Amino acid sequence: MPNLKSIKRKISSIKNTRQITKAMKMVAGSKFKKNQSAMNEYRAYAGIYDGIINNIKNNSVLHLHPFYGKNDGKDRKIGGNTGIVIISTDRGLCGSFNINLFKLFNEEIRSKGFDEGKIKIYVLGKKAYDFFKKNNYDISFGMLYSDGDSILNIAGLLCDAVIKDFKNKEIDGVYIISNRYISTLQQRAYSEKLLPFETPDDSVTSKSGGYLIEETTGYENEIIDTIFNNYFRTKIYYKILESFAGEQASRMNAMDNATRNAGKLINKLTVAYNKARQTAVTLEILDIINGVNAVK
Amino acid sequence: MLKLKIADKKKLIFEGETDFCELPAMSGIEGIMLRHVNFISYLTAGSIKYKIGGTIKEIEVLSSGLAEVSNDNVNILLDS
Repeated sequence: MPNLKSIKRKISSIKNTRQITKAMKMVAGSKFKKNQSAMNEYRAYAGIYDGIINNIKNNSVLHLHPFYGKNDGKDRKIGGNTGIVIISTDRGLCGSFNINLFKLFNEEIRSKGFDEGKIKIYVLGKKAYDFFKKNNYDISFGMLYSDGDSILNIAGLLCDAVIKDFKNKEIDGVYIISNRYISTLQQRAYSEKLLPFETPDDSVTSKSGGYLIEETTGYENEIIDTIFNNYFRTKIYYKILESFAGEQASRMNAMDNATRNAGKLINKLTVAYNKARQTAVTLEILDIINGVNAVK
Repeated sequence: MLKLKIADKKKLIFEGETDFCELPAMSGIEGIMLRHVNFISYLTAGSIKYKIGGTIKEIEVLSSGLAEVSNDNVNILLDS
């Protein structure tokens, strides 16, 4: 017979846990709203910037820019280092949010055939930092959100590090692996190639009209350089915002599930408790009846 | 019609069609009409004007921005 007292203790401890997960869900919910509105506010800007870059990408004059990976007139050597930017979270308890990133990372390495020894990692967030440190990857840049800097500054530092390495040819290509926010219930890990920019086919290039780049303070390339740098920063900043919103949404779901599971467990244990109590009562009655019979 | 899009880092300010618009570009005010040559430019403080159905609307540019004109699309990003 299960011990009545131990079941009761279990029930009360699960009730406590349920309370905590419920509270965490509430907290995640309010943070989520804030992060989501930050993401939505920035979406228009990032979207238009995407459009602009897509338009001017076809301009063959720009293909001399280092972001196309073709400076000095010669292609980069194949098989060099690859940079991978990973945007994770500082805190856990958000379901499979971070695990999905690591899974995708391993898949990408396998499918694209990267040499594991030649990968440079640029990482944001404690979870990914710990993961890559544990697995002995070459971390070129690691930062936690809890370092106290604003997200914009963190994005800036990350971009500077990546762009510097790319221009110095320490890395040949840059990929980013981050979570994309699809809906409150769905976040998915995506990988995207950031650098070098894809050069379109020649047929497309000839069709697109030339661009007049207004000369201002100096050389044309400087303007293009700034535009591209800002684009890169905008893109990464948007990804971080997206990851933030996704993190809280994911945590909300995880905590909701935990709360519901705790409820189920409590129900199950309550049934077991009642059964055990009933058995105890029946046994006692049997004892009494037997006693009475014996006396007769 | 020109397709005009204006956004800053907080929101989409305007998206729609216009006959004419005017930008405070670095080298002076640029007027843009249909079939303008493709160009990219930075913007300085000033005001963006655009015309919809006879009325002229104005948006202030506080610090700086970026404008891109291509095939009758005008995209403007403001850094504020």
